[in-house]
Amino acid sequence: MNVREHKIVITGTMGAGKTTAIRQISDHPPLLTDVANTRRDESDKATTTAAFDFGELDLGDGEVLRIYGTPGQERFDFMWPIVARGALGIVFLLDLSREDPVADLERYFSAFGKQLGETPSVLALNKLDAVEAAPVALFQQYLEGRGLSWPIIPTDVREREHVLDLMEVVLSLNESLLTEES
Amino acid sequence: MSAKPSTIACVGLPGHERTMVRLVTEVEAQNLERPWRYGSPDRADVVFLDPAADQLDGHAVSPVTRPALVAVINADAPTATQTPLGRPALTLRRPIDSEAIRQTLQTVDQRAARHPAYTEGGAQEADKALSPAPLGLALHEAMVEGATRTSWRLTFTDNENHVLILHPGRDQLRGAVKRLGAEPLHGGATVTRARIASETANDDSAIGTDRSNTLYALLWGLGYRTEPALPLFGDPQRATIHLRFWPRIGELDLDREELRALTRLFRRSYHIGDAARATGLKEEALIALMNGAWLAGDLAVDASTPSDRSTRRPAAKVTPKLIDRIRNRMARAS
Ligand SMILES: Nc1nc2c(ncn2[C@@H]2O[C@H](COP(=O)(O)OP(=O)(O)OP(=O)(O)O)[C@@H](O)[C@H]2O)c(=O)[nH]1
Ligand SMILES: [Mg+2]
Repeated sequence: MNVREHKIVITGTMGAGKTTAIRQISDHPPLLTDVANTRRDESDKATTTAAFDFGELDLGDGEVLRIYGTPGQERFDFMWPIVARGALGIVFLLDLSREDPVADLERYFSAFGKQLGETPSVLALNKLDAVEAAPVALFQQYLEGRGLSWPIIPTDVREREHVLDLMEVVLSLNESLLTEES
Repeated sequence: MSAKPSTIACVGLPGHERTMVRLVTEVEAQNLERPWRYGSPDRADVVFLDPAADQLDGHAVSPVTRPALVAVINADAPTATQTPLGRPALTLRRPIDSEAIRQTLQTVDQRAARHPAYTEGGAQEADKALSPAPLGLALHEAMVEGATRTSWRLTFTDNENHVLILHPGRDQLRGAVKRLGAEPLHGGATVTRARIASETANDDSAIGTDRSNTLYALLWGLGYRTEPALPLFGDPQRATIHLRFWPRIGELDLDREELRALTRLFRRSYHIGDAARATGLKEEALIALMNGAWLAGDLAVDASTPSDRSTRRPAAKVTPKLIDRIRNRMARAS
């Protein structure tokens, strides 16, 4: 059957919460490709998503929305922009419990290269419980320095409502672009 | 509350609405928290008026009792920010019924109780004997008039002498704070207002400016939560607005419609009416959001949409219909 696919991409380091986020809103459990984590030096978790994983929302009329999670391990960097091509939006999921989330963001940036700024993007700050206060101002300055203005949303992707909020921001960014075009 | 009856009056309302107001004071007395009587506007504590009525000329309200004005407007009229008798504290949309009137009286009481000590002070132009006025009104006057004519300064103090000063007359300085939390601000801080004679009056510096997150959050909360939500950023019918910065406001707990509105207004200029239509948010709710953004310094007024590196075009397949479908589908996802 020929389905028309629309997609939203969630990207982030190993353990940032991509699979958790997708699980909140998918019709089916995400098509997990989690395997035993062989890179315990990058992250201490037991399993990790080896290829990308995705969730699905059936929109009817032969159309489907897929939420893709990019693979977390660094050796899959090259796949991120490929997965994101033509997407409605990219959610950059930062893990605030990691040592240097700014450096993590930097790494996504070099991986996405010129494609940054072509797709509506949101910076989501996850694992807030690991820090005293969400460093929104810091990331604001960082993005501004790169001429990027993205919404910055503190979140907890274990909560469905929070994930829906992120999706709403992606949709609204698209709406803004559409009104401008017409 | 005192047992002494307060006075309600009507100006410019049609006969059946006057009767309704009168009936509430007489027939529903047992449902009201304290006695009210119907009387003339020059003695009234609360005045219901229709700002669009043409027989308002010649009426005046007492500068001594300084009544709370309740604008009664048609269902589809824009929110009244000004009436010939002053700024309204509340707005009621037609048709009005006895329940709406009863609730209005209660709200007026609650606000008076919450801000018991809003008085005018200051050396330059002491203007005493003012009755409690809603904080939103005081803010509106200070911000809007402060930007154009008089330089106002608002000082919030709680009983432990923590202070927040808003001094809109001075452009960069929107606030100075000394350990005043959001709680006292909305739970009975004393608010005094002073007219500043000249720019040499400089006692703000004694307190020190705090551009920290605390102040930022405090100002956001003050603008967003204070009622009534009168526009602090200029004339909402004419101004175009956009968010210059994405708000850093995790703790305000915005709902999804508000988040949507912020996203639409993020670095894209709108008239407020268009923004309300685009987002489905009520104009009043939008003004509350923009008030928060304005006080905190996130809002740009009458500036064109900035051009930056961020996206200019949506993905090829995106249409408004698709977005609606996804939105509906997500709302249903289980
Ligand atoms: N403490 C805390 N844990 C969280 C939060 N959000 C997600 N987690 C947990 O973080 C862990 C990592 O989640 P995953 O969804 O597997 O992460 P992932 O991004 O898919 O990781 P890879 O597939 O390995 O790239 C899970 O155990 C989540 O429950 C949060 O806000 N706080
Ligand atoms: Mg995963």
